[in-house]
Amino acid sequence: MDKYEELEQLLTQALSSTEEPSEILNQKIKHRIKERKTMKPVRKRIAIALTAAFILVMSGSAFAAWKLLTPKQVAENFGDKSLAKAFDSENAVQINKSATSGDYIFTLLGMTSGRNLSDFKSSIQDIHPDRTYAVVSIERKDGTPIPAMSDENYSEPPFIVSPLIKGQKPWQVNIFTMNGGYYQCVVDGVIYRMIECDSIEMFADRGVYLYVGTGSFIDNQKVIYDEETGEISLNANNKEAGALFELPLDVKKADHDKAEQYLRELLNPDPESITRGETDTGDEDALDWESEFADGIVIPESIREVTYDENGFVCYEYNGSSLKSSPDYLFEDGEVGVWKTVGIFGDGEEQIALQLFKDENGVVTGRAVKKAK
Amino acid sequence: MDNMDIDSLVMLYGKAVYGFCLKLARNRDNADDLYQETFLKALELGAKIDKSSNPKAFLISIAVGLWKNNRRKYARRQRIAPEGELNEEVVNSALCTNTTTPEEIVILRERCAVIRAAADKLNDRLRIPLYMYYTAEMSVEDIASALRIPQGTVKSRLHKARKILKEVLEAN
Repeated sequence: MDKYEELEQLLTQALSSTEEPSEILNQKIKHRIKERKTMKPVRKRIAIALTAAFILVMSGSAFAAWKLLTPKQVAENFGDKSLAKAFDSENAVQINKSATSGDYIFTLLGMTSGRNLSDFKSSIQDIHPDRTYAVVSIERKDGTPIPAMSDENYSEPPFIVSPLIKGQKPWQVNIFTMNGGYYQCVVDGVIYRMIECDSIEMFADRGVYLYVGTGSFIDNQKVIYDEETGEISLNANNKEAGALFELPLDVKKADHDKAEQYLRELLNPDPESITRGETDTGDEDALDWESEFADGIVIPESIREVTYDENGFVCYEYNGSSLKSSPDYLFEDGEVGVWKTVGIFGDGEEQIALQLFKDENGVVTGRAVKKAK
Repeated sequence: MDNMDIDSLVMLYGKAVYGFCLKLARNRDNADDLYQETFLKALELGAKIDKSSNPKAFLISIAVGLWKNNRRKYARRQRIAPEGELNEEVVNSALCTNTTTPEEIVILRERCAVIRAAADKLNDRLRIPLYMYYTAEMSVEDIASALRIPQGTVKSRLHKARKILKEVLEAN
């Protein structure tokens, strides 16, 4: 067994756990779940999504939404009387615009924004009290009713409903990163989803979209983001159903400074807490690696252009070591002409760095660099 | 997600998730709390976990998210109730052979204790991927997905953590 293997085994031994949760603890979980089930309704907080977001832009003719519930009725159905009132107020916007895509008809029923609009409080409201609520309906194009979600015959795919901001990458600024959540129900064969997120009114002067479609996250299979104009549009090659609605926001409610501050915080979250006096910045790892391999020996046969998978992720492999990543994570905007170390393999004197280089034309090349002895 | 799904998740992944929560939270009270909140949050998210997805990675990523968001709460509790020693003296038979002597077992235990103590002192940037890899037995790919960082960064951090632990071992 070599030293690396010995260390690996030791780490596995030391860091694995033989502890088990007690039966009492597991019973507590079940009990709390039962309690929650008798409360109504459970706000579904959307888990922070992975990587890129796709938006499907749907262009279609408007659809009469008279047969659907109104946002007020949907909120009442969830038992949120205050929000129902808010949807009935002057501040609310009734939209009732539909579009058909794939097997579904998506209808944006309406939206409203403000503070303390809902009877259901979540902890995020302490930090971001201004909220936006939007209601959409999803029905099958062929008219067959969708069963209740608790019904064993319920077999709809997951849906994603998310605001998107013009000028912001959809995979960075979306319902997941905007502290979003949703309520969902099925009434008379139609899915109604009411989303909640940080208020989008401050972006009213930039342009805001609402994406609705099948899938669990927004990525570049679903939408295309134009880096130059900031426009977001549907990816015509997308296989999933989806729609993109432009939201009719009141430009007078836009707040440029607030929006800038919000985006700064969202896109540059606080670094992890510093413990025990150690400092650790996002660049520290990168600087270490760059200086350690500055005198490294490039392995000639490793130099080649990267490939891309169906999700647009950069893929590079050398000698059994591989990397796959969203290009947004690898390079800053405008960062070209520099070799960047993105991964280290091996141990001791046998360390090899995988590096990537992006030229002015956006072509990305990878190489492996052996550490100088 | 209904009760039945949660029951299955607890049965299948409870041990892995609990072990991870213990490492992360450093004491049993916080770990119990984090463990409960993880499953409750999973229910709240309402995601349908089908057979093709990775439920364990999903639960671990929830635990990490909850830990990061509630660090202050857990730290406050730690100051009030100092952590108790967690008994982790089981020596894996993979490292012992038929010829391993009692002295060697003691040395092995000590080395494991040194590693655990050193790992515990790492910054979360290194500690979390380390525990996800060795305690929760997640792949680099799953760790990258859960933490929303490139796989190269995961490997980088694991490498750095291993290097630090190796240096600590050698110093001891």
